[in-house]
Amino acid sequence: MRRHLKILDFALASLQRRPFKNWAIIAVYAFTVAVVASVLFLTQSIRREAAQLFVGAPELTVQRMVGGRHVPIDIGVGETIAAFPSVVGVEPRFWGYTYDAVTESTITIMGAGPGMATIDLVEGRLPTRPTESAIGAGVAAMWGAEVGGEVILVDAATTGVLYEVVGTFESPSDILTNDLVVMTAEEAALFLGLPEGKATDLAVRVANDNEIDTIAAKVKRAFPDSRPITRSEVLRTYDAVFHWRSGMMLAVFSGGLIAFVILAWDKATGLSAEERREIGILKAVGWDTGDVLELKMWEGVVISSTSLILGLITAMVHVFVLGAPLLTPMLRGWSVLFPELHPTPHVDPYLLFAIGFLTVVPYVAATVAPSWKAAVTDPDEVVRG
Amino acid sequence: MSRARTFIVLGTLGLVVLGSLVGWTRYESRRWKRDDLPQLRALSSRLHLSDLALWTEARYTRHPSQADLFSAFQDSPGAPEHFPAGSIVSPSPVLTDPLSIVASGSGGRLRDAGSDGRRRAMPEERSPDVVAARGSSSGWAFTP
Amino acid sequence: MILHPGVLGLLIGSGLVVALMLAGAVIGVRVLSGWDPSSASEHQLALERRTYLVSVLVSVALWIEIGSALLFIHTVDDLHELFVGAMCATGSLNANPVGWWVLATKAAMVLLFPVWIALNRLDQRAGDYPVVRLKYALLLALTPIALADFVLQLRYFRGIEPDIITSCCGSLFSESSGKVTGDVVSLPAGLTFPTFAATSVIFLAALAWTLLSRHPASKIVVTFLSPLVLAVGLIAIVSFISVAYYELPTHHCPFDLFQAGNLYVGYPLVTSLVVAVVAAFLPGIFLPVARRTSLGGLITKSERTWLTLSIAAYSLFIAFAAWPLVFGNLAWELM
Repeated sequence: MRRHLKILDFALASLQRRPFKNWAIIAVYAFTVAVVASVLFLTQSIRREAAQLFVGAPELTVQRMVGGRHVPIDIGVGETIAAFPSVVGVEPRFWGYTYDAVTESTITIMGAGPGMATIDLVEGRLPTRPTESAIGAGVAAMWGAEVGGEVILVDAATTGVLYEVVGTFESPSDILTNDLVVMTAEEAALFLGLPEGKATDLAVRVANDNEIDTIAAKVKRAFPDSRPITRSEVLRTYDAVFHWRSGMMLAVFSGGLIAFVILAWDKATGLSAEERREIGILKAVGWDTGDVLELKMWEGVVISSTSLILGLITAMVHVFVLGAPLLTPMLRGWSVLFPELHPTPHVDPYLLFAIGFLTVVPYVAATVAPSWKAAVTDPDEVVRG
Repeated sequence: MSRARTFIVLGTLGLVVLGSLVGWTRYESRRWKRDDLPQLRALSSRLHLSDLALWTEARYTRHPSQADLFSAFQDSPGAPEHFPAGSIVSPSPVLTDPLSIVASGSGGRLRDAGSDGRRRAMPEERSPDVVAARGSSSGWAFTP
Repeated sequence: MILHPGVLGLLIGSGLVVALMLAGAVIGVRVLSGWDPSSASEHQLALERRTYLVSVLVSVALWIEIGSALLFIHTVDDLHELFVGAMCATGSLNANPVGWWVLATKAAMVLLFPVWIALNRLDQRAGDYPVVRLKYALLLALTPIALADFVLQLRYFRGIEPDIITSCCGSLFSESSGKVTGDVVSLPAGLTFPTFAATSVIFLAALAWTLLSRHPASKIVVTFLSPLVLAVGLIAIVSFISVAYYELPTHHCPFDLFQAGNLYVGYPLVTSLVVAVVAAFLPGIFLPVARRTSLGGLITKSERTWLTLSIAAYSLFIAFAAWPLVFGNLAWELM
């Protein structure tokens, strides 16, 4: 034990003698860890949020397809579906988009069907009359609108329509409601220009989760031009979206990882004359190859653990405290109304382990051969050198 | 030995900071689950919301779960994907899964010859020359 | 499927293990072909130095492999969410049965690597490299396993498609499945528990006897017992330890032990069992080489460490295994 501590002590002293080189490696190493960890923390926490959230989504939505496109569906179809056993209810959804030329942003219009007007996360209430609306935080910020104010939207016939704002969505719901303008169902149908008796699609409530797939198959059989989307498909879509995206970012970043490994390899291989002398003298005073290898191992442990801890702390602060400001541009694309991200902090120990595996293992593998090369240095050759 | 001890103390300190950060995230995520999640679920259930309001640039990025397989290309036939989020949002795996009941547009084998006597072939039965013959359209519908 | 962070980590890890092992094997062959311990030539000196490189390469590969085995279990456990009908690792492994082979190769490597490391330590300490040929022969045997592990793992992760409806542990570890696992489960706890208890007592007694007497026969007994102990331990986990942890008489799946719901108890449980078995396996297999004068003293010294380690690890395993039986609610109904 004492022997190992002594060697660790010596390793630290030897690292300290070359502060610039070693801090440079630690900085690059920690940065690498921080980037990998930030990507994974952010995508995993949004993925997890989506998975938890959409348990509240409709069990089944039914679209109508014409020419491979999603077109308005007859509300009458809903009555047939509602008669299927174990369907609790069918509600037509009226939703669509409108483009606001002034702010160059696309806004999502959503019709609120009958139901409670006051619910949590809405400051004020949901609209109950055709002239009222509830708006998401992004829309409210864009127009500086608040409860009691008014917004003007351009409808399907290119007429500006005035709505009184009776509610705004509170910030915890940003990820769901940022770009929403909610109006009553009838008004939304009118605004979006849906023909009489048609809805955008149908939301179907199913009592028993085990029967969702059966109902979907029944709907498909009864209405061959329909496309039922089950809730589990929604969940798996988001799962795949975020796996894919974190994988894409990592794939893009793998170049950086390789560059880091090459740097580590290079730094470990290119021993300075001074370092070679040092090892030569150690061996001359009686260290054997195994001891020098242990010295090199401790150097690696010191550098890796320092970088890993620093990198992980940086990533957590970056993603969960600051809201991932450096990654948002990558996520956001051309979205004008991109919500401010407040990813719910969630870190799996497994994730930390996977991050360690992705970064430390390549580093260790890259420094094995150079460490050996240093350890077998011949004292005679170096000291005379 | 002093250096080794300093390093061990500092390392432990770093681990403690990291550990408490992890503990904080655990606490926060539990708090979110307890306080915010039921309300968010109620909201999504009340308004029938099925997608995250992240990418507003195109239909298929605003509502990825409601989009169909080639929605990126339907603005005009053969149009290339041109929104940056399209490189970030992959198509739903459901759509590329041949076993999915809902993905296939044709409704599978459920349909036989219709009342109009037209033969309705399964997609794989359709020979390439039939498709080619159909594709040879002549001219415009309306000309000045 | 490849773009999952855990999968990426595993593939990188296995790829590096293969690279390290191949490098080790190539150097090993070159060392062996020119090996002449009696010579004091510069060539022989260079070869002796190279043995250090091989030992470093293989030790690094061992550590990566241990991490990789744990990461594999957790990744497969984590992936079950992507499969309809899967509730734990069993479901993800059934989604592409190659996964079971990956599990087998990883287990083989985790069990065999430490033997190599122990052999290597003795060899280097001895000074005259007494078991160098044996060492490299074993290394050449390990390399194909590493390669198989990498290839099978790649095939596994390439081959799993999300959305495949898999059979979950309910059908694999339920009592009428007609597979080996089903047979294991249908062994009544009334039979497996006494077997496990008896094996444990005999094993611990044999370890203590070896530690005290150092009789060669006792070492052979311990070495031959250890694979048996591993098998009985695993059967015990499936048959009643997991059941006692879940407090659900019909649920036998061992992989749920590795999930957060059971406080990840599977990791210390399996790790302690593996450590105990591997450490107990060592004394007997070094008997043939212990006669060499340069090794005798070293082996005697190392044996004390191994045996003590084995006793400690096995006691830990017993503690983890007995905990739910003593403090859980289900223990008595089982017997």
